[in-house]
Amino acid sequence: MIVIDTTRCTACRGCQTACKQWNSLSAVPTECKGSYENPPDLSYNTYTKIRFNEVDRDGEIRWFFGQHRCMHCADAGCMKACPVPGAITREASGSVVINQQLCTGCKYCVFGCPFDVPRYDRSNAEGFGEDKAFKCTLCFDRQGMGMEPACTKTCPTDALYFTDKGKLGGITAAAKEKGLAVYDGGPLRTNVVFLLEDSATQYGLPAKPAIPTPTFLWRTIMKPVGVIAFVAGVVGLIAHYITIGPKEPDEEGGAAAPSPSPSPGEGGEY
Amino acid sequence: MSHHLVKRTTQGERMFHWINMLAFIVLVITGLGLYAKSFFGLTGLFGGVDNSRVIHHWAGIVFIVATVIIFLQWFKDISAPGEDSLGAVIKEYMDPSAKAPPAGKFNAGQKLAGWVAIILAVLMALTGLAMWFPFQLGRGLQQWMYFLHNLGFILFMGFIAIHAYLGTIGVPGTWRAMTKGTVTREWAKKNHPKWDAEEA
Repeated sequence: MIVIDTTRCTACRGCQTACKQWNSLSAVPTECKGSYENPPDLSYNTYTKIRFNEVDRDGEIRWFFGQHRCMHCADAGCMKACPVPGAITREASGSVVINQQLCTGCKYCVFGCPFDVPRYDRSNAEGFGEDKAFKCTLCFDRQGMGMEPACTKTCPTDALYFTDKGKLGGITAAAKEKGLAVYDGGPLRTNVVFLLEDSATQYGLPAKPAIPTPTFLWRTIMKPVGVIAFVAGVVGLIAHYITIGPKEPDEEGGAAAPSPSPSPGEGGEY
Repeated sequence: MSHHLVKRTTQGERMFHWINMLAFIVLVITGLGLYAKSFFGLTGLFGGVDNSRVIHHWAGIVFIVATVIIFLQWFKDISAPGEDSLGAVIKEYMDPSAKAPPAGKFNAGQKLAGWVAIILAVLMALTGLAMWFPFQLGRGLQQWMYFLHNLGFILFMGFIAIHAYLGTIGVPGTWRAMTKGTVTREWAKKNHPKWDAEEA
């Protein structure tokens, strides 16, 4: 997993560059918005980006540097939302990975993510065509070859570093001693952990990260409820047919009416 | 037995209802594939998930157009006040010996069904459009669109189960209104006594 010690980040953006280099992602034109922050946003070919937040603290300028990237949740909103089996998988390393070969471009994951991470772009016509979703893979390919992710490998100040889950307890205990807040996505149990000097929102992180309520209702509650309700409804109708029976017209002229009607089970042609 | 037949539906009503029904079936099959991973195999019927999605979008257009046309055809009939009540209509289905309520062309249940159908169809069309073209509403609202499309689908399936049952085996003699456009005099007398008296 990755730890991001924000006290050590100098916003050199080496992680952005290393990520692009390893993943062969093309550059995005920069945009001047009165800040060093660039490229403008995550995109299908920008998996990570340092956020610059300039805050006036009693006449003193504070600069908060936060990294916008996939947090690789143990309980991942994108995986919940995705309708295609195998299009988003969790690798042994804990990485949540989109398989663009299977992705159908529905963009459900884009809106299921609590951290606003997956991106798609219609202009991405190279390789897989169009409309595919992209995001950080936690370099699961590098990890598979026994290497750490490109971003942690390149970080010159060790603000970003790669570590085992087992060592996390010691790291967070030490951070708390220094007065830092540990941000691990709460119920989402992210595989990317931030050590924060200030409130999460200063770093562009949601204060209370959670699967979006509508996504949870849609994928976790409604999906089984719908199937159960429909089956129960059909069983109810069959029960009605068997016990109460269909609503037949009253036979005229008494019981002897020679009605040539076939059995009602054959579509009710009367 | 009587050979008297009563005209129940016009050719136009039948045509759009058939378009409607076929589009609905296509929508259900293509949509179920994305509803849950356990139904994903259904996308194979239409040549994979990518094709399935494209067909779902365009079948949705056909469906909403046909549904709105049917709504306009029947708007007057489903808005007309009736002498029967929903309770009496349901009671008759639950107890065949109950006295038939004085239903007009459409009984209270059918009128309700007409409104439920158009409301659900519009809900599905609007939320479906938002899913087809995301990034227009903002994240929060867009997330609710998926939920509402899902909720609308579940309600629609409940509606269609009852509708299909009552339109075929639940009320024998109804289906021919979809095929031939006529019903028997006995059927009319039993199910729509007031309408039958008016038509006679």
